[in-house]
Amino acid sequence: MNNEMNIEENNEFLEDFILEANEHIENIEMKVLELEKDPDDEETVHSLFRSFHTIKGLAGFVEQELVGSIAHKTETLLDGCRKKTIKADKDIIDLILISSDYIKKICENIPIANDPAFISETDEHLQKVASAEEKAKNNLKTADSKIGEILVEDKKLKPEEVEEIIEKQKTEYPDLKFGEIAIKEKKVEAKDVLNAVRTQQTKSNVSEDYMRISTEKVNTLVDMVGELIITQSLIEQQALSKCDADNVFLTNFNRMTRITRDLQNLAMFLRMVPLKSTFQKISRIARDTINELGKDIDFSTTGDETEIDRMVTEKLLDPLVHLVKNAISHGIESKGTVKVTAYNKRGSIYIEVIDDGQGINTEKVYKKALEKGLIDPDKEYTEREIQEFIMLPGFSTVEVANNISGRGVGMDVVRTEVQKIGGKVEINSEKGKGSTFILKIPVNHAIMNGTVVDIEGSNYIIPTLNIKQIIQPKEDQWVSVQGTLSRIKVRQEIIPIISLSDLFGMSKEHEDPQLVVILELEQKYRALPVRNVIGRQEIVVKPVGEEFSQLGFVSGMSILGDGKVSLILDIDNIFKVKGA
Amino acid sequence: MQIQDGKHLTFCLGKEDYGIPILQVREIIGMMDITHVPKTPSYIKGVINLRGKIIPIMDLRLKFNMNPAEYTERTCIIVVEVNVNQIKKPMGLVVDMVSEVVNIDKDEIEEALDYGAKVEGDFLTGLGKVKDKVVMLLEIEKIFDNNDFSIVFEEAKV
Repeated sequence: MNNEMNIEENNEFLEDFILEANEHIENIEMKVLELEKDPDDEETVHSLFRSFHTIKGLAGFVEQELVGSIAHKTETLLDGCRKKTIKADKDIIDLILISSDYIKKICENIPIANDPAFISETDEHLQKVASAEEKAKNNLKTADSKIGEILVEDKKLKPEEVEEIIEKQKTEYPDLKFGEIAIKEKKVEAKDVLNAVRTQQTKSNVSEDYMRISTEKVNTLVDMVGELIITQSLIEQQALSKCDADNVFLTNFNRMTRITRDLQNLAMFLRMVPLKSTFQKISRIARDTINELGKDIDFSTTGDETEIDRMVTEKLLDPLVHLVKNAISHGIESKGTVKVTAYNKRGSIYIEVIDDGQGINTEKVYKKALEKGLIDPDKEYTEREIQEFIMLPGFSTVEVANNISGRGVGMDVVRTEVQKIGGKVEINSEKGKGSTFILKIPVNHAIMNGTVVDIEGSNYIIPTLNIKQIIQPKEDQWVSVQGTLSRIKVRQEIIPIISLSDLFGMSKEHEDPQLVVILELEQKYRALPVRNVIGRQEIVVKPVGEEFSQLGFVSGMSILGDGKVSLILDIDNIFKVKGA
Repeated sequence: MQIQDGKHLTFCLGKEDYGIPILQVREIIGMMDITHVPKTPSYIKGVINLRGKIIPIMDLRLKFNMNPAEYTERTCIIVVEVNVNQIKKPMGLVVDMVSEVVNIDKDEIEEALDYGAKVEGDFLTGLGKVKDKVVMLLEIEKIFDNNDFSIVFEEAKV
């Protein structure tokens, strides 16, 4: 059919359309939730209106008529809200959400727009929208009153003059815009109206100062900046050997070094995105789940400005959705709160899903785990250990799978998914008080500040956060136990020295260590002897390959400025090494 | 063991010639700085930065219990793709010298038995006759067998 040919030809446009429409749908979903909290917020209504309006325009361009008509009808409805002739109550909000869902469905599967069943489904919905909009039709246009407001703000018009003009618009000049009438009535000058219109446009464009860039381009940029820095350090070494210290070339070169360093930092942070859009998606799903179950649950999120590597956000979504659905369907019986909160602590990102329900019933869990043969019947388990059973593969307390949470997949999937990005899941549950599921996502895939040290001729990276201080110990600070230096005295503390032979399996112990790095973890200290401290820098953490995953002392790897790979020391593990 | 015919990349370890299926070879690079990883077997030389990707390097001489050799200008790292738990992973093999790509027909290949070379029979898929030479055909997955990594693990746990 002719239509299909057009789709074929417009394939590229269509992709752009889908991409952009999805962005607007995301905005719609977020704004609708805001609208639900504050139905009178004009800015929210405007933003919703603009999103549907843009989708309508785009749809026209790629000849997606169904999308166009859904967007158009919904836009008209929102126009009513904008003019305050329709109150944005729950019914209206539901209609808006359903509209955006239909558009989303079409974007996910373009041919569905030609499916008769789907079309009649949307038709039915649009009729509901139309009947709600009917109310709006009887009311009069005051769309341009905002221009009036701006003119009042600019002291070009008095409020009563605005009323007057609106009155005239209703009676004398039904086809003219507010500004036009104002000029005609000699209330204001044309340039004032023009200014007001400009103000109105800037106001509406504030939130759209972004551009879309493909992840691949950003990744390529990061790699290329990496190559640039490696080449630069090679030039630097040559230059240092050939030039005097006060050479102009070196001065200029140093300037360039600073610029490339800034460039590197910038490139690294390009990949970081706030959790906002992940949290939006979760809020939406939470809302639907709550409605579906008919529970009275207050759902909220905090910390959505926390930044995280984009790749991680994608992998986090499913586990988080699962945890939230779990909290809503199992955590809370009928009434309560579910909260998702994110924060950054010690270079890790923590995301907590908190409910104030009944907590995990450990007796039930224990019985279930025993029945399924997942645990040792002769062993005594602590409450905490029993709570962790729910993350065992094959464990699921709900007998019949429902579509809210779990189709045989359960907490074990959450755990493995989080482990894939190097994270951990912790459970804190108290009977009668509620449960908290904590996801701890480590620095993997992320950027961290690292201190590069030389240990017996090899470079290693220590997370700078874990370094309390670096000291050059005096003779009398060493404490020898049975002939080996095993402690160091720093002020009042006596700190155990980490044995390099235990840590790295080196045959000999450190000979006459020059420097000692004092490591800190949860108010405990360890001393790591090093030969030299090379420097401190932002590094990109690459996860440890599977083949080395059993090496406890390394938490990641990174490529340093000279192009060589360095291992990042796992501080948690170091604190477990003998010598404590 | 299944015999693999077709194009092979051949290389030398001492006086012995070896071949691996060309389809599994990603690239050949010269020797570069290797970062040593402690607590791994001696034949795991460490890791390198291959244009931003970190890949592990294994010295085949050491893996096959041959005497270690000085790295020279001819020493190469063959980057191969290995199937580890259904995921293709790039890994590097240090060899003395890369020779050539040869086509080996099925009827030029003899089944592997224990031929007395230091390669344990497990790694071999067969012996290929190429002109006047005999090329030992290796199965890469067997070299990087999971068991092999479990050795890394056990030593690491000590």
